[in-house]
Amino acid sequence: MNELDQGSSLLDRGLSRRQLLKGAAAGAGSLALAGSLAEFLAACGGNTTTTTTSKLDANTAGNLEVWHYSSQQDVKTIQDYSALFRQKYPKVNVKLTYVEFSEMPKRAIAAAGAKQGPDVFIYGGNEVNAMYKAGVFKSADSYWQGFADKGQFPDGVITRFNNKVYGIKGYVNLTGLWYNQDILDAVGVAVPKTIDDLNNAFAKIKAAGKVPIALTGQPTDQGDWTAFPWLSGYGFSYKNPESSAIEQAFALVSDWSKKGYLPKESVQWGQAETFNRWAVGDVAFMENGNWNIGPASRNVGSKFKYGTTPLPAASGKQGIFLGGEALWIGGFSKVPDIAWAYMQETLLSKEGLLITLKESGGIPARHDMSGLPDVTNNPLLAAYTSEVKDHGAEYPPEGGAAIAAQAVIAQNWSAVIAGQKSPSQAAKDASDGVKANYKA
Amino acid sequence: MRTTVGAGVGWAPAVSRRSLRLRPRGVGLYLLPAALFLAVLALYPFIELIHMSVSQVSSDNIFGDWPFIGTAGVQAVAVTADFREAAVNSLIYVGLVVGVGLGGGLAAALVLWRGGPLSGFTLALMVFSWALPGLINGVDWRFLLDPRGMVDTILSVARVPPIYWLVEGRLPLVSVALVNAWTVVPFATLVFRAALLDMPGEVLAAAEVDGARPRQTLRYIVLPLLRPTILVLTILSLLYAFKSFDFIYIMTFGGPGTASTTLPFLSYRLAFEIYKFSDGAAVAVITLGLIILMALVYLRSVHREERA
Repeated sequence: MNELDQGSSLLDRGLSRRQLLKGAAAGAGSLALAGSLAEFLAACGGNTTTTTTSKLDANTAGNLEVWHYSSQQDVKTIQDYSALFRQKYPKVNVKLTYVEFSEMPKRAIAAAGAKQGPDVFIYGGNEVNAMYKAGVFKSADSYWQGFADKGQFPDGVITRFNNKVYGIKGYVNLTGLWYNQDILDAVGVAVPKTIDDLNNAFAKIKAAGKVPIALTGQPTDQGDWTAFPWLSGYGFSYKNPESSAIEQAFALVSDWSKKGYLPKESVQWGQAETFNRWAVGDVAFMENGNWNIGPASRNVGSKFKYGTTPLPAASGKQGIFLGGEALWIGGFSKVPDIAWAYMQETLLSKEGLLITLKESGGIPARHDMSGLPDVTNNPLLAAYTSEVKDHGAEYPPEGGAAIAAQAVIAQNWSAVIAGQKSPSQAAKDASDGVKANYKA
Repeated sequence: MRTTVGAGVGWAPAVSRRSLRLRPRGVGLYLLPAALFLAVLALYPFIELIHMSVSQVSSDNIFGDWPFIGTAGVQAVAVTADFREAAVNSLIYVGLVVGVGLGGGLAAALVLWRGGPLSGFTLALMVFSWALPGLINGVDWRFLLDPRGMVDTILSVARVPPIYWLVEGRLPLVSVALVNAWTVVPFATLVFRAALLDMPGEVLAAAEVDGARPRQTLRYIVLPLLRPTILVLTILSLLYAFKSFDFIYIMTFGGPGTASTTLPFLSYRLAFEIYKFSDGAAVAVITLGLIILMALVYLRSVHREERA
């Protein structure tokens, strides 16, 4: 599809001409991003087979239940998806059911035991492997093969089990470094590029009476998500859990904690609490995701100037998990055709992904959206798009098979920040634990 | 021969002398709903738990066949470092909850024993805090114990440096246990106060006439008379503390690291965080065994007390 065709298609779906003109102008510049995202994600590849597609129309009627974990702060995005879907299928009632993030896999597995569950899951956690094995999902393979736009999606956003497509992420999320520009200006430090820059900045910020950094130290998968970029920068991977690599990363964060750069109470913070702490205004940096672009605009506003930059890396080996919510058809859905139509019209469509991009900053995975001005002209997204290219790492790691090993990493990460364990002891425990809990 | 009392006046059925002495006929039928309720909601899960603990169960086969492994799973779990740490944490936790909960309850009951203008109000407040769900209490205390929370803010007035209640060393475990004990105090107070009000006044009056000081009255009269109450409360508090989960889940999630992970929480993590269902069940079964053991020891003590 050429740029003009894309334009017509977008117009048909209700995008403004201004957006299209901007998109066309930015088209050339966007190719690098399109290439980088696609290049990385394609590396996570898979196979494709034959096609089937169901036929639905505006008279299609039915009920569709969608499970999601968007809290009140960002539930509007999910509501907007439904509104978008109902533009095309007005006779389908969509019931949105909120299930807390960490509870979603447990409730889904329990429901599958009773051969029940929703028609669609919006879920991007690391427990998909366990959920698949418990029969929570139905394969979307036949629908996917018949999907006209499937070529727009890099393989890396498609989750396959047993060589069949099950989940598809329409966008990717990852962590980067947010900074409070006002604090940096007041202290006189530049935006850090390296770990040495970061340490020097921390010392000055601390001396000025401000809090240098907030990040997640919880002994949960959120802690593992936060820890992985630092660990992998020193050479750690779940396949190669060398104690020396882990120790270097743990020594770094332990030093931050001991010097008061990182508040010890961060061991209690999830990503949302980390954001809330940073948004108060006296914290210079936070490690957090692009999904905070919307909340930052709403909650920080003009309180202070802020920006994002890639996380400093100890080496080119650094990996940053590529998250984002995938869509899945419920294993016991009685209306899988409608469930697929919901997926197709929301997070797999340009309009749906624009909703995500504008409201929460999710980076569209579609090739034909990488040139949109909302992507290319957003300075807050620039750091993240460069990270996708240079450091993007598969999530969940090892296809979800490393879940117990991830828990070990998170616990030791938390213990080091709290000062419960020395970096060397925590590294040894983590290395042993990963080896015991994950066999590549 | 069947002898009847009355002739079935009104709605009351005719009752034989024999059944009057023993029990009315058909009483088993009335017990059936409760028995079924217990069988479905208590017995069946319990049997499934035992079954899971002697089987190999993960997310791969949770809804399939469970290969039998006997006690190998329980033995393997019991020798892990995680289990040992959780067992030690559980003992500390239970000791604090029971000790502080009962000690605080007894002290409060003694203060509120004689009544007074504020005692009713104080008791009502205590019942309120006891009746609050653990989830709400846990969230409240998590905020209160934050380094920027109310407790540290008040302490800072006395120039006390911030205390990392939920972060440093053994403090998270101790803090959560004390919060949990705080919810035990009102219940213990109510029970102790009821026992104190039921105490024979003439014994206390005799002690006073004999010149016993308050401390001596407490030690030689009140506490011995409260002994059965203390034993019953100890059993109940032990059971409550040993299976406590909500405060740990909300306040520390077993952390930092695994510093406040107790046996019930370890069981949860194994089963529902990393989907090693049989390992989680094995920890739960061991915990259950310990609880039953403790309950038996204390029940025996109560029985001896009653016989004496």
